[in-house]
This record gives sequence, C-alpha cells and structure tokens, in this order.
Amino acid sequence: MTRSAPLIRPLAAATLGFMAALLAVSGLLGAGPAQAFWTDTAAGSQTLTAGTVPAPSLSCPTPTLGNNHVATWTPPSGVTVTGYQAVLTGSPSPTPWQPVGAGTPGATIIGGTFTFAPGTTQAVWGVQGPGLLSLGVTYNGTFTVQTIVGQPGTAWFSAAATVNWQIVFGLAGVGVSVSCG
Amino acid sequence: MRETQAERGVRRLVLAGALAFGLVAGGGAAWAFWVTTGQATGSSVKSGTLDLTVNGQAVGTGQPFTLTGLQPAAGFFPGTTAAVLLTLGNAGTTPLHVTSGTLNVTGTLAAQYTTRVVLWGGVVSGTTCTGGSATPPTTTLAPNATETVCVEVGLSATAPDSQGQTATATVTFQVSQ
Repeated sequence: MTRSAPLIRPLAAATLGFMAALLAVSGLLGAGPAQAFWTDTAAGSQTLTAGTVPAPSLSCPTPTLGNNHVATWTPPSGVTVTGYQAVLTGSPSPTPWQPVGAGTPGATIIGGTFTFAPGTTQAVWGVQGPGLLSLGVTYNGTFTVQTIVGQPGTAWFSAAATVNWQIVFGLAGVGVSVSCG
Repeated sequence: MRETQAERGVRRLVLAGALAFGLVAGGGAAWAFWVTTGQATGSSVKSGTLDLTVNGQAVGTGQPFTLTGLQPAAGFFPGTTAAVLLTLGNAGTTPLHVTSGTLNVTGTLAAQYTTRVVLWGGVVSGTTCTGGSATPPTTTLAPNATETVCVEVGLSATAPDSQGQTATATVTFQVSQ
C-alpha cells in the first residue's frame, strides 16, 4: 500500500487531463454544426385599413296623390348592407302623418326612426288632408337614411343622406311639394 | 591478438562499404525526392447559398418583400376577408426546409382581425383561402423550385365601429437547411 500510493496521484492527473481534452474535442465537434446551420427569413407587411361605410344615394322625394312623399335611395356598392336606418322629422307635429294607401311601393313610415331590411330602397310618408285642420298649413321636415353594415349592437353606420321636404296645403286643400334639397 | 594486415584491410573494406551504402540509402533517397511548385489560376472556391424568395422578391438573406393583395378596395368591414396567394421560391444552391409561416397583425385595430390563415398549398377562392394544410410541408424545396401558400386575413363580424382605422399585417417565412 505504501508503495502504490505515489502512483495514484499521477494516474488521477493523467485521467483528468484526458477527460478535459476529450471534452474540448467533443465541444468543438458539437458546436460545429450549429454554426454551419443556415437559415433565411423573408417578411412583408401591408397596411390594412378599415373602410368607411358609404351612404346610400338618396333622391328627392316624389309627391304622389294623397299628399304623400316617396323617398327612394340606391344601395351603395362595395359593402354588404345589412339594413338601412331612416329618420323622418317634420313640423307641425308628425301626428297627422299617416301611411300611404295600399299599392304605393316602399315602406310606409310616420315620424320617428325606422330600420329597414337590406332589400328595401323606398320609404313613403304622407300627411292627413285635406281637412279643416290642414287648410293653409305647411308641413316640412327632413328625411335621412343611413347604410348599416354589420350586426346589431356593433353595426357600422354611414353618414346620413338627407333631403328636406315640404308639403303645403292651399286653401283648396290640395297638397303641393314645393321644395326638396 | 594483434590485428593482421589482412584483417585490417577487410575491416576497412567493410567500413567503406557500409559508408557507401549509408550514403546511397540515406542521401540517395533525399536526392530522389523531387519537389516542384505550381500555381493554379482561374478557379475559385465558392460556398453554397440558402435563399428564400417570395413572389420573386426578398432575394438575399433576411431581405423583405412587398406584400400586396390583402387590402380590399373598399376597405375592411365587419366580416370582410381578403386573401392572396404567395409563391415561395428557392433561389439558393441548397435545398431548404420551410420551418414556419406566420401572419401577425399589429396596430390599434389588430385584435379585431381575428381571421389569420396561412394555408400551404391552398388556393384563393373569392376572398378566402381553401384547401392546403395549416402546417408547412415536411419535404424540402429544391433549388429553383417553388411552392405556393395562401394567406388570408379578416375582420371580425362583431368588430366595433372603427371606420378608417388602420392595422398592419406582416407575413413572415422562415427556412433552414
């Protein structure tokens, strides 16, 4: 035992040296492929812009018999319309307004806010007359319509297309549309 | 035991022979080792290249390409989608392996672009991508070869009113050997 002890230290040192050399070589061999691993990246970008809902094209309301007005609009292109929202205002009170009789095209409305299905492109409104309360009275107001895109609750609305309308009852009780713009 | 004259002569002969053999065997070999030098001209060593192109662009490592076709003419509205077909090419000298293809959207309206599709081998059908696979092909793309990938982006049908707002779509492809 006393004679073999001096051999242990050199043997251990030699073993450690060999392992260190082995680790160094394996490290070099391992790092080699990573450095030679070629890659390439290609990227492209584009700006996405949310559109602006176009308003329908609204024509001047056409007076009809019975002191009615028919408003007609043209659907905008380039969007999937889910409906239209129309607002009719007038003075005097809209109370005398009444739906047009059967056979008149379009949705009949009175004063207020209305929502139409996508296929609807006309709205009709009128005022009651002739009558004693209507003689010599001028009714006027505005009609607006907006395009609706999207679902209820999160729908997008276009700017309003607006026309001014007027119905005047003469002394003879005949309604005449005198302005539109 | 004194050396005779004859023995001395034999010994000198043996030494002379050994010396001669040594000269021939040693020095002779050295004289026979011909050395020459020359310089080759007109040739060079070139390493290979790994280069992905997109629609013929992005030539060179890490180069960008111009992305077009994902913006509808009228803009994005709730439920609107847009799709474009991109052609990936191998402009390098070694086969490449597509490791990933991603579509990211950033900007104030980014969260509303919920449709983000990358279909390998897919085709454009209207404003959407159909067919293909959502994962890159496992096969390599040979030099000068191409493959197509369909990219689609779409605005959520329940996106709040955000008319005129913008976002940025970025399509990124990564390849390796």
